[in-house]
Amino acid sequence: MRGHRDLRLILALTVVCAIGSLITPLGAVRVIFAVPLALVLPGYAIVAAAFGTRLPAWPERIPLTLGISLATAALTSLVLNYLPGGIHGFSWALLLVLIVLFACRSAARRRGRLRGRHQPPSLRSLKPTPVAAATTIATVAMVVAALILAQVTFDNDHAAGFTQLWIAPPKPTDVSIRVGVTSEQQGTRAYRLVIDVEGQAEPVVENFELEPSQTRLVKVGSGGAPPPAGVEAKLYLRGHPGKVYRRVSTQLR
Amino acid sequence: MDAVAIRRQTFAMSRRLIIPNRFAVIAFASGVGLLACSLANALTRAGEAPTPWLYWLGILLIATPILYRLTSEEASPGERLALVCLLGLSLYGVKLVRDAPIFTFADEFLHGYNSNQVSHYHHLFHSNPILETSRYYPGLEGATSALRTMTGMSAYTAGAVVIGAARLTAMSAMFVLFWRVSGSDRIAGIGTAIFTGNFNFLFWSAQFSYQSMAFPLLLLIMLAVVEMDWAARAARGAWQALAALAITAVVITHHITSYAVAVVLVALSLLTARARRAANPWRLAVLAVVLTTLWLVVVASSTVGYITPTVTNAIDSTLHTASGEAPTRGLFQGGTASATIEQAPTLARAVSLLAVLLLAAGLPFGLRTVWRRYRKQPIAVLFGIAAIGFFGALALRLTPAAWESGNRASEFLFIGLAFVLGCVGLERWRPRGREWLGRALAGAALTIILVGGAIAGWPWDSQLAHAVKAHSEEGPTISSPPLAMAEWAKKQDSESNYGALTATSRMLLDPGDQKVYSDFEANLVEVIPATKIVPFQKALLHEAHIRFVVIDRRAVAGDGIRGFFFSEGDAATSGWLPRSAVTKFEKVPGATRIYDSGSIVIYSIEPERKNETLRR
Repeated sequence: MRGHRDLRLILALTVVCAIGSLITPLGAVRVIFAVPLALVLPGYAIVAAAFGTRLPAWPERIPLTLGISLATAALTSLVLNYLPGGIHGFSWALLLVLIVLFACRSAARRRGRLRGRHQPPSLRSLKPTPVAAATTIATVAMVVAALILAQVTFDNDHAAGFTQLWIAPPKPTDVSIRVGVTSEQQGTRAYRLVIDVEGQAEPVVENFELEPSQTRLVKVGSGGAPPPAGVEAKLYLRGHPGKVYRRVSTQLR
Repeated sequence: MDAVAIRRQTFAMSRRLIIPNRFAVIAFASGVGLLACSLANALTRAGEAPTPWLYWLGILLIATPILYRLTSEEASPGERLALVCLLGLSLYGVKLVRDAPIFTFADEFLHGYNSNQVSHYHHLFHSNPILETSRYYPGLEGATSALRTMTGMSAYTAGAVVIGAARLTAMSAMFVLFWRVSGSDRIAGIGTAIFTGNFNFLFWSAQFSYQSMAFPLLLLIMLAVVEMDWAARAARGAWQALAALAITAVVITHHITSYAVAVVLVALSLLTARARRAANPWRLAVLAVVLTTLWLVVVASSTVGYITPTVTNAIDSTLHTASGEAPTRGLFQGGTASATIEQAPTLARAVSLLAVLLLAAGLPFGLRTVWRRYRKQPIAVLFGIAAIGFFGALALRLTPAAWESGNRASEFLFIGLAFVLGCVGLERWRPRGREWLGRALAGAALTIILVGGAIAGWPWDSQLAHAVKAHSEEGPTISSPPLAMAEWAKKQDSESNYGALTATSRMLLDPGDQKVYSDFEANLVEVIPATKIVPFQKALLHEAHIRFVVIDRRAVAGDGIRGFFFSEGDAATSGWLPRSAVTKFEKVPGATRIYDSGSIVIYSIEPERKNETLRR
């Protein structure tokens, strides 16, 4: 690949991105390596291999690079699907490096055969003026602020809160069941939980308070009653002792 | 100067890159607009009712400077390309700042689940209980898996990056395509900007769904075919090879787009043969037809059963509506007609209808220009036919069962319409030498088309997203009823099947990661809302091996747009399912109520024993 600066650069970037995406401990940093590795570099290399010295103008190379990268990613996943081990980070990185390597070699050969040398386009005309640089920084700040704002969870007093009463679906081997109360209310609520187990004289009664997003878990066994024993749990709000607020039931086997 | 010379000159101009200062100011306006949209969404998630003007002001800040600049004569091709890419990405940003940030569009849950399956099992083609067909078109999930497996990203984040790349591909490919066909970067810029006014552009086509990735590849294939016609003989093979690669990727990514690719290539082959031009794409057409048919027959045969009812229902419904036997569908309903849903205000409807009128008014002028200048180019003729066809698809929106088919078709046909309208030339109109007037009118028309398309394409009350998570009055985070239920189901680690209506079923798929059936499977769409359950319905549930039936009483339970969010504390419950829709399961032997959150109740139905089946 001697004499083809762009291809050597692409290959070097691919190797750096592959290693970076695999060994960098922070997931967010790995993204910086993985995105060009999957969505830019294969397309550029394949386009270079396809055209040899007759590379299209840069406006055409933008959709070609991105689109062919997307198409390659889709098709490569199909190849990985049938390779031993399937779809993993390592196999992805390795295969993408191989694709770029072969495409770059092919591009270099075709260029060599045609006795042409491709120079990467000059980016000097993209050098921003101070005003443009300042405006660009402000724009990036706006976009980042917009995206961060979109991630934020806000206070919402108008959202209708509620409480979940549930019984974990019993498995055949379970000798006890778990009854849970989870509060998704706006504020702390006081509850009274009454659990009747068939065959037991006294119900299990629990009085408690839950803050929003808290869960109260109660384990109930059959207490020696012959299976299947019916279990019924009723939840009352402390201020309304006569009105069943939530109700669940199951069979204890 | 002949057409080839014009093209050479315009492509040579592409070496003049963008004008940094002016472009930077326009990009800044887009940034401010995006921030305004994000703020409007944030206020809605916080339970406030921000004025809709804030959101629409944001859209206008994004679009208007770009659209006005695109009408100018002096912008370079590079600047125009940068402008249309900025427009496409900024409008994609509007979708991203609307997200929760979890999936909130109905199709995204299906593909999010598929993507999770790939990450979990390290293989493609895993079953999807709600949309079985989607498993046989794994291109999107496969491409997303590259980012997910290498970085550990969530399906949402990796999907957002992949669809962002696809959006950039679409905008740049369309610009270069129109530039190649017209020889004018001004027409290309305006045409591409007009495309952003198609009804699905702002939200539907920006979601994490297979068409969002396949559609840009269709544009790339069309670009390659046009380039084959103009390129030197030595470069034709390269364009053909890249087009073949893109065709293969489309075939494994999305069924409808693969059919569209085949239709476009066959049509172009026939038109090229008629025009007796050198570079006929018939080989690509054969490849597209063969690969699409092979994939359909060998891999994705269930697609036939999935698409056929939609198409036949659309045809039947159109015939019934046309003959007066069935009523027309009301506009601005977004697929759901309900008295409880806020309708678009009169001004918004007027803008939307004005946008359609502008599209229709520009059509004859655009067609005249296409016929005069470009009729020798097969693809320009195809664009003209598609532009006329768009208004046929528009008529389907008035038919209840056909509106979705019309909506899907309109996006493909809009490519042609965008090119034809780009050729109208309103921006060149100079009454009494006032150049600015023509440009201002063109800029205003483009803005109305974009805003009108956004209004028509998504329900007015759902342009801004509501909260799926919120901080409670005391601080801790609480989840909306369907999300809390899905989170609960995920923690139970049960391998049994769920049955639920649209909103809860989607959230059970992702983030719930449960095997869930929905709607027409086991006739859930009738079983769940019914006040009585009859033996054959119980048998259907057992046959589908549904262990847990989720009864969501809320009026929005079947709504794939509004059903995922919190309702307001004082919201009316008059539209809820009657209590008997829940209690009917009390009479089913072996059914137990295992979950109760007020609006959502889950019943566990014991698997039917063999002797009971025999008795029945």
